Amino acid sequence: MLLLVLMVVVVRSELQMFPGNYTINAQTYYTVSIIPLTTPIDVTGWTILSLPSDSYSTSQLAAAVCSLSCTRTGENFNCSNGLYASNLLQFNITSIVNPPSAVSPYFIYNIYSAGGVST
Amino acid sequence: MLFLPGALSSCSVSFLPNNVRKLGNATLVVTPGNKILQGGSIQVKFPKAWAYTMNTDTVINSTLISCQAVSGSISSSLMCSLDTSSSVWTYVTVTGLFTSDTSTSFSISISPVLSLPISYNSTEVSVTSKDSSGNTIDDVTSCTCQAPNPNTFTMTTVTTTVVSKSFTPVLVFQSTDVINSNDTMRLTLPSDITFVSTSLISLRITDTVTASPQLQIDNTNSNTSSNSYLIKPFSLNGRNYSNANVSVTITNAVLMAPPSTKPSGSIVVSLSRNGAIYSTGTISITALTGTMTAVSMAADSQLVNAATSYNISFTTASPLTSTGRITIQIPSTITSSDYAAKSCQVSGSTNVSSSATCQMTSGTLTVTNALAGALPSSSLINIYFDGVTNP
Repeated sequence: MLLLVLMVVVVRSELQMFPGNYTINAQTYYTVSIIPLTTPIDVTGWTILSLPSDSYSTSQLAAAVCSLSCTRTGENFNCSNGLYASNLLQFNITSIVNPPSAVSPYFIYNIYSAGGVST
Repeated sequence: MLFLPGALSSCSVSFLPNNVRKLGNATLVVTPGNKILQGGSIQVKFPKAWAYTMNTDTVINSTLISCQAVSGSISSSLMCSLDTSSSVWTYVTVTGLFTSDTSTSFSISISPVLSLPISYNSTEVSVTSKDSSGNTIDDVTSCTCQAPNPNTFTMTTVTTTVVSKSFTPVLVFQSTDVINSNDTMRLTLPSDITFVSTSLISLRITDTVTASPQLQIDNTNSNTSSNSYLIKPFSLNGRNYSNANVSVTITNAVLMAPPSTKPSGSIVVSLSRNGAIYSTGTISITALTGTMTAVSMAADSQLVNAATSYNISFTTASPLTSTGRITIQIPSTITSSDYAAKSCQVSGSTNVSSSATCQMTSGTLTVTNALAGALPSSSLINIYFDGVTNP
């Protein structure tokens, strides 16, 4: 008997991140865009963006700040969804230093509704 | 999103020995551009073409390869690994270098590595720094290479002959390097040693597989003003190159030995590849004094204690220049304490002078102004002088 299991993953948004400078160890800024694909972003919620600690050292993130109303806990940026346009959540991370080697880091983000539900 | 690696601040490589294509140490001096992280490594890239062009299989001996710390804040416990999978490059990865993050210069040596060929691109050795996961920090950065010196032939013979006489030496030397069929050999003679004839000159390269190269004198490129001669190319019985450590013998070249005024000189032998010298050596030529023949002496008076004149005749072995002098050792039993030359006459071959002068000093008679011009070899000379007393 053939057992067929189908797993459906619903992608609700995608993240695009563009550094101002791609060279390792360069101090630069990142333009972060979160584009909703299925579910509109709840402007009353918040977004947590995590920069991978295996790619960045603590010192390279030490001065990084977010252009939105964000709080930082370690490598996590907890940002308000309040400012966005055209259904696009966009903000900058500034004063960040690129990774110390030529890596392709994975960034993890979660968008939360006001009720605390991740989208 | 992939971040881009940087570049080393500087990199240089030198070889010891620094002769062409010798197995030895390659010492790299590296200054990082970006900090090399603890646990990181460096990868050194050598061009395989350096080996191919010199008729060997590999640039690096994979069995014996080792790495040593030379200077800088690096560990002394290095490990080397070799990657020869590329058809173009040989990679050496050196790990165990960095026990802490490093931004300062450091130096390591890798051995045994084949030193530069005579023709090379001075930036073909390159270094990449990597983190402990293998991600690039400073990408391939060319290292400046120290130019190699030519190798030295081992000369096995010193040829001696008679001054200003033609001779046919056997010039033998050992080459530690292979000799390619397209290599060019040059013989450069000092100004006072000349080729009399090169028409029969021959050259043989012996190795474990017998090869008998043919010889060509390149008249169009011979530089007679500097007494330099090209021999090219080598026909190696269908082979492209000889073995290493071969004996090279040049025979049947007729040379004129140096004159008595400068009885020694050196022939410089050089082997060139792609227009650059990669092996060189010198063959010393020392010309010995010739031996006169038909030497005879007669006195005008045969009486003991008689003041008399002597006539000495001989045939020269070697040519004399017009300023040449003749000296005669007078035995102590023939006295000349009150010597005052009344007669000093030179005769015989052409170019003798009628205005010769004789001077006696401590039993040695020196005849100067004896010649009006250069005297060829095998010339008969008569010297008639007085002022001596028989035993």
